[in-house]
Amino acid sequence: MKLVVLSGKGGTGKTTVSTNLSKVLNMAYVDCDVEEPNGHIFLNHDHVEEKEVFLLNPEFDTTKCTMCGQCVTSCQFNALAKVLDRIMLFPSLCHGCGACSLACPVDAIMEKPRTIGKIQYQNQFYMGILNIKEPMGGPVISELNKMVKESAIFDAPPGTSCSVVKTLDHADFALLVTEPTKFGLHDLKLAVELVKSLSVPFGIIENRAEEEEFLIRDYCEEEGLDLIYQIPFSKSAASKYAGGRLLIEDDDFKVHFETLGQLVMKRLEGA
Amino acid sequence: MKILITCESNHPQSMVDQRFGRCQYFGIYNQETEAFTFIENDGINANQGAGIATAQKAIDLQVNAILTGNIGPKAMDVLKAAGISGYVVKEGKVTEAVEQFIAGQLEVITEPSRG
Repeated sequence: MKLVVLSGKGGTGKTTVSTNLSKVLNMAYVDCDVEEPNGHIFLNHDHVEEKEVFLLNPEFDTTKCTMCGQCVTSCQFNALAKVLDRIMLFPSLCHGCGACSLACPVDAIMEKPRTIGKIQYQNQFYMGILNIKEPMGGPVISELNKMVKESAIFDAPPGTSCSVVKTLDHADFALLVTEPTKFGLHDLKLAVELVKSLSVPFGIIENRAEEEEFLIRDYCEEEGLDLIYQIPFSKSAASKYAGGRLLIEDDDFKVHFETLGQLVMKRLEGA
Repeated sequence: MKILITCESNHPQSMVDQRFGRCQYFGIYNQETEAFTFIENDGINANQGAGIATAQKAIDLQVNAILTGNIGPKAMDVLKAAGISGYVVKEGKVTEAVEQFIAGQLEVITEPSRG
């Protein structure tokens, strides 16, 4: 069972929801926010296994290359240029698709692995880490998708870009976490559009909800969307979070997350 | 000598486009014939590497110099490797930029712009 937590807007509580929910549902936690993973702060782990993530980049055999430039033309990512006497590669732009090596008529291109990040894991915990200066988190997330076989909660990166789409790959259900602000609502709409276009069943969680604030409630009602739960605004929750603690250490929040967990399980059974 | 000017539109009275990779049009000035030709930049909406693609275009068109506002680091690497220099045009029309270049009044772009 794959449950993905996403939000559109950053800082609405994806990691808070994912980490606490993974505990009450006894599911694995998978940090796909590979540019800035922070789930590990809340889910302490003492010793971790490590696995490197590679991307295949072309290498050119200059004795075979005829400088025909077909590799440059075939590259959809503008990662190659043909200058005077050689082909230049910009590794940070290469998606490792292998089109250049297929296009090469004289077999002058070898595909060599280049490390772009790693995955740290142990019992029920997985964290993707993209190396500094690497622009593309997708391959690290794909590796996480391949690795995780158990029931798990995937903590997506913020936004609605390629990395989030990758995280949603083969998702059984998506939880969209938002907050009662105009930014929260604006980006929630983008996230709703994304999961709808990918046909992933989903529900919405309003975090830091306040009684007199109807922004998210009204939107969900108007659009007929499933507002699964409203996690109340609380100073003590904020201070727990800031101290790197799980909210379920607090009795009230334990009840909140257990209730939320049951509501989510009901949806998962239906999904 | 062939000069590539990044242009906002497709005529000699156009303003010089300050962007290199994502300029609207390439203006090509041929010094021998004193004629301009204009080509639409089809790489303007590239997801990435627009500068590299434009630099490649400059190489393929066999231009000797580029007049533009800014050149990014990756495009700069390509142009350096190909031995093509870029010259700064702060603002102004394409015809004026060409005149200034021929009069030797434009400075070579030595450092790529960032961000």
